[in-house]
Amino acid sequence: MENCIEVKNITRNYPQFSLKDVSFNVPCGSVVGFIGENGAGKSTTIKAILGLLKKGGGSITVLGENADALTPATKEKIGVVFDGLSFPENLTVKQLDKVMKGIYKTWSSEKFFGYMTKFELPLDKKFKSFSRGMVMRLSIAAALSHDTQLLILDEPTSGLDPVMRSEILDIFLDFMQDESHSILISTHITSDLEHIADYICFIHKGEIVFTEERNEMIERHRILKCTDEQLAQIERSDIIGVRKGKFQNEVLTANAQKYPDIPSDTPSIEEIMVFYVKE
Amino acid sequence: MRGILYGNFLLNKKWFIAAAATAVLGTAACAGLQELTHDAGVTGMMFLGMQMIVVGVVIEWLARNLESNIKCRFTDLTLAGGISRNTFVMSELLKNLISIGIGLAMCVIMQLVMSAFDKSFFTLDTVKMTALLTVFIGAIEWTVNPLVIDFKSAEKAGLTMGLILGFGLVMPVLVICNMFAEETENFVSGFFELLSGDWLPLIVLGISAALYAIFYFALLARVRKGDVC
Repeated sequence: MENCIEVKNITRNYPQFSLKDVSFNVPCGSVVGFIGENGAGKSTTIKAILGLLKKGGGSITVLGENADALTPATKEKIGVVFDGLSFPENLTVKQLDKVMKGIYKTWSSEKFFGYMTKFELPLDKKFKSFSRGMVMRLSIAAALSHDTQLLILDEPTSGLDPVMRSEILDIFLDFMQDESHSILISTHITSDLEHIADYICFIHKGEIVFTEERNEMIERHRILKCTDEQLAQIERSDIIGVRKGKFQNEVLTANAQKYPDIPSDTPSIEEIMVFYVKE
Repeated sequence: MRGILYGNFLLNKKWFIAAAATAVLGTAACAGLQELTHDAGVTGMMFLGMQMIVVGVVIEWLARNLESNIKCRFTDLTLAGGISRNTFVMSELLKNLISIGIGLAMCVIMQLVMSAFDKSFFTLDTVKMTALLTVFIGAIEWTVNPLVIDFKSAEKAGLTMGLILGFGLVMPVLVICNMFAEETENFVSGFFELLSGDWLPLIVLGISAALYAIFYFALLARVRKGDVC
C-alpha cells in the first residue's frame, strides 16, 4: 500500500462553509502536516477521513478501505486525538482503561499504564481536574495504547506551552521510529511541523492550496525583500503574497531565480502560509 | 460495547441511587398511607404513581448521557475507534433495556414490601401491569435519541417528542374515546372500554415493540448520516 490515506475530490456543503474538491494523500511511513488558518476546513476534513461526516462527493480510503465503511479491524489500527478532552470528564485513568478495553480488542493496559507513568499522570483523579497538557498527554496515550499504525491528530498541541509541545512532538517522533507507522497532524501551529513533517498539505477556505514535500516546499519559495520600485518590476504572476512595510516590502514568490538582484530569505512554513492567505 | 456500557453506567450510578432512594421513600409513604386508611384502592393509585416516578428517575439519565457524550465528542471517538455504527446503536438500546429492567426490579421489590400491608399490592396482575407500563415508558424514552443528536440537547429533544406524542397520540385517543363514549362514561372509562379485556396488554406491548423497532432504525439512520457531534 503506497498511501495509507487517499482523499479524492471530497466536497461537503454546510450553511456557512464548504469543502471544495479536497484531494491529498498520506504516504505510508510519513508524517503529513495539514495546515490552515482557523476555520479553513482542517477539522472537517479530518472528520470526513474518519467517516464521521455526512456523505458527500468524492472518495476517501483509509488503510485501503472506504472511509464510510471501515471494518472494526481497520479502526483498531487508527489512533485518534481530537482537540481537547474527548472522554467523559468524571472518569479517572483506571476507569478509562476499563472503558477502552471494552472498545478496542487490541487495547493494552500495560502500554496504557506505561504511558501514564511516563507522562506522570495520576490514576485516580477525575479528568475534569486535569490541565490542558495533561489532557493532551492522556489523549495521545489512549491513541497509542492499541495496535495503532495510523495516528490522526486534530490540533494536538493547541494551547500548550513550548516545553509541552516539544515533549509531545518527541512522542510522535518516537512513534515514527517504526516505518510502518504514519501520522496525519492537523495544526495551525506550523512551527511544530518544522521538526517532524515530511509533507505539508495547506488548506484555505475549504480548498487545498498545495500538497508538497516539506523541504521542497520551503526551497521552492523565497521571500524577496524589495523596495517599491523593485516591487513594481516583479511580474504579477510571480507574486504569491505581498507584505508592504514602511521601509521595505516582502514578496513571497516561487520564481525567485528570475530576480537575482533582489535580496531574498528562506521562508518558514508559517510565513508561507501567511503570505498565501493574505489577499 | 462492554466498555461503553461500563463507562456509561459507572458515570451515572447516581441516578440509580436516586431511584432507589425514591423507591424507599415512596414505599414508606404509601405504607404509611395504607396503615392510616386501610384502603388499598386509594393507596394503590398513589403507589402506582410512585412506581412510575421510580422508573422515570431510572431512565432520566439516558438522553442526558447521550447529550453529554456528544458534547465532549466521546461519541465521535468511539465511532472512529473500534465501534461500528450498529454496535453503537445497539449499546444505546442495551442501556435503555437494562435501565428499565433495573426500574422494574425496583418496582417489584416495592410491591413485595407493600404486600406485607395488603396482599393485593403484589399479584401477577400488578407485576404484569407494572412491566407493561415500564416497557412503554422505556419505549417512549427510546424515541427521543435521534432528536438528541439533532438538537444536541436532551431537554429540547424530550420537549419536542412530548409535544409530538401529546398532540399526535394522546389527544386523538381522547377524542376517539369521547366520540364513542356513552353518556354515563368519561374519557378514562371510555379509553379502557376501547381497550378492554385481554387486548390492552397486547396493544401496549405491540406499540412498545413497534416504537423500539422503528426508532432503532431511525437512530441508526441518524448515526449513519454523520455529524453526530
